[in-house]
Amino acid sequence: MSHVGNDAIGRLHRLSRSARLPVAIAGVAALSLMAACSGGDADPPAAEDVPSEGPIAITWYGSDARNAAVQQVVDNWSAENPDVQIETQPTTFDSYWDRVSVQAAADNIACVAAMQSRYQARYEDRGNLLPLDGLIEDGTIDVSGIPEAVLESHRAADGHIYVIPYGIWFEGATLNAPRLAEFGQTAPDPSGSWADYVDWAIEAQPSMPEGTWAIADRGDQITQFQAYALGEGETLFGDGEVGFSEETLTTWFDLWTRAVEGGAAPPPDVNAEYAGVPTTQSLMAVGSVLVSSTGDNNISDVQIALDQNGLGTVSIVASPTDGVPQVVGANGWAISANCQNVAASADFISSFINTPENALILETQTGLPPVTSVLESLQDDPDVSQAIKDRIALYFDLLDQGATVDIWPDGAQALVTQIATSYQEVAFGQTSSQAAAADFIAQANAALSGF
Amino acid sequence: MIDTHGHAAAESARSETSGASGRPRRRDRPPRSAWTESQRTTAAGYAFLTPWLIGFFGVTLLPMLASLVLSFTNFSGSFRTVQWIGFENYRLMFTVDPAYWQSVRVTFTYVLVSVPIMLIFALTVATLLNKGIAMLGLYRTIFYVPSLLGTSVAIAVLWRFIWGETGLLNNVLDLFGIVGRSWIGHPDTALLTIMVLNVWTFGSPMIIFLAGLRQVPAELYEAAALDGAGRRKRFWHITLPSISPVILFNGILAVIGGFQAFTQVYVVSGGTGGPAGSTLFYTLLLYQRAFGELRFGYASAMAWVLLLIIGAATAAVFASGRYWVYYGDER
Repeated sequence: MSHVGNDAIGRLHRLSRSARLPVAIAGVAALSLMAACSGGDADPPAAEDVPSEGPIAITWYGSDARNAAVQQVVDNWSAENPDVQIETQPTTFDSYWDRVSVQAAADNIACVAAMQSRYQARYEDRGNLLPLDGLIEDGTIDVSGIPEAVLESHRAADGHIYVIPYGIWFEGATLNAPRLAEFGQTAPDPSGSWADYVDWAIEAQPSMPEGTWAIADRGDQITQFQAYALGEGETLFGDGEVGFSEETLTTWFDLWTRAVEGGAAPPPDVNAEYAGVPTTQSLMAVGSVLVSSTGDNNISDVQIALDQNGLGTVSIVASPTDGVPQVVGANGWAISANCQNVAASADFISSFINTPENALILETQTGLPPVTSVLESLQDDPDVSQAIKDRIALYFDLLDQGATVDIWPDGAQALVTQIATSYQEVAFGQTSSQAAAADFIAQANAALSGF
Repeated sequence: MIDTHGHAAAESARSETSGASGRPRRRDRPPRSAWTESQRTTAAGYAFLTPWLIGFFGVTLLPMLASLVLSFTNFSGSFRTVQWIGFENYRLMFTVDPAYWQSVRVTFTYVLVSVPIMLIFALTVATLLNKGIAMLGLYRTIFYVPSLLGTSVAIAVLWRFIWGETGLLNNVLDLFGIVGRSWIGHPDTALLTIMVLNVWTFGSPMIIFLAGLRQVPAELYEAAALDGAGRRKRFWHITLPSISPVILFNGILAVIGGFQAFTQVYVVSGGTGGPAGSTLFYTLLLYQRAFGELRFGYASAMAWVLLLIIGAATAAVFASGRYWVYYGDER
């Protein structure tokens, strides 16, 4: 018996007689499960090896409009595959990950599960997803149209690919140029850095009406700090720890404190109030700020809200990385390790990404299609909006610059909340920028090390 | 078991009725049932209890014990990678995780401040409703509605509407020339808004207080009034002692509920515990660690520590009851 097992039995003997039985039962049950489920890694299965019977569940996230579009694609595939019984489980982004976490713990993830580049590593590392290399190699899942750099960036540390991208997005700066023009301002130079943006905002603020700010406070946004760190020649993640310096984070906090104190960004309490609201209720969407940042696939939601109140038009430009290729992320499909109809699941994924009609239905709400020929067909389609075509052109530029999909390591998700807390402590005067930066780095390193 | 006992009973009956001559020694008796009346009653009792027993053992006790075991592991959602790590989760919790102590501070502040205020408010309203006013049932229903709404997602919208930068409260303050702030967006006041939400959901204890007030004998008030006791004295010396067991009951429920408070802060803070960690309740951090970071082992350890905290707090309230709860002649 293992050393661990001897320790456990020793502890059990020290328990009172009445307490031994239930603890022993629970312990044996839990340890048996651990032993039973601790099998070694198997080779990625090919098409002839995978199960192909039974229904499949498909789960994904998004806004109502986005979910309706995906549902339509699913319905179309279902009409072509009437023998496959499908259950769909769409939900909002935040609740999606809570649900998948619970399903992962119970080995009950839907056959086809949406993943995202910032979350997928946790499920890959835990063995919840099926390695798809075999299905890719034998052509069951056709990824030939996806740029190699994009596909390869999904390869996990163990050398396998678990997730096939279905929607590419990139972080960019969002501008409400018509409203800026109303107040006699021109948009900031999109080739600059976040520091240039803040300088511009402080100069522009005096011409803004009361209750309108030139720029959103992005000090609490990890993805925007990532863009800033890239501009400083640093990265967000290193090997099991953060990849940026304390000085860089300190100057980031100082930058936004300067924006707030200069009146160009909303005060901290207003910023905190709007931190957790949906995109359609954000300060940019309600016209209270005129420059902000988000993923390119979110701007349609912002525009819907602006249109309702006639508050301008939002456009997206390159992220303020000071010329460095910006961060690209991806929504993707994975097949769960517990799936009983892998064949149908693989066919669905292949169809989803390669069918040009799907791209027209989705209208890039889930991100830009990953297959180059599908993107080109959107560019050539006269019915596709110019805004989408501009995003596609920007994405092609990014690819030319060598951009790859940024896959976050496991444990990184905690940083999203942590940087918000650290920045808010600075913004509300509870601590200094330097102390908050040091504290954040310590916490982030602990999270990334698997504490 | 029944067959065995039945067989033994029949053998016993034969040996008692047959002697060496084969004649019966005693009066013939019908074969006895395998179970006595008492055993049958007990078995029926357990049969009726079976659904509860299945629920208790299957849905409550075993999962609790499993979580106890998991608290000594690094379980992160997959049994493929789980390892026994002893008390490491508890060590990390108490010595490494800075958010842990923040969550403890926030939760204790919430319980110590909001629970007494909520109980006082509920008792005050119950006392007013006990005056025999017209449409009592209507008022009771209206006051109970917040208890039903208090943990709904709609509250997040309502609370922003009231406590936000452009919210109702600031509009009222503006009438008096006072410049407000975002009350839910500032760390000095965000927890206060959650406490108000807790007080606002006073309906359940109010109903229980009202039931308790109805049980206080009217002749006690009459006798006190004849002796010249005013309203305040009657309330202090008759009402409060008479309903002190109800206060204890409500207090214990409120303390337990306070430590377990989750939904209110989850919907109001959007699950972040912000701003600046000012509403980071213990249960919210537990939830973040479990479902945000998939650290189920660590979260299980947190849950067991919370259980101990709640047990200790409940015991303390119970123990204090010896000094202020009046049980009539049993005191």
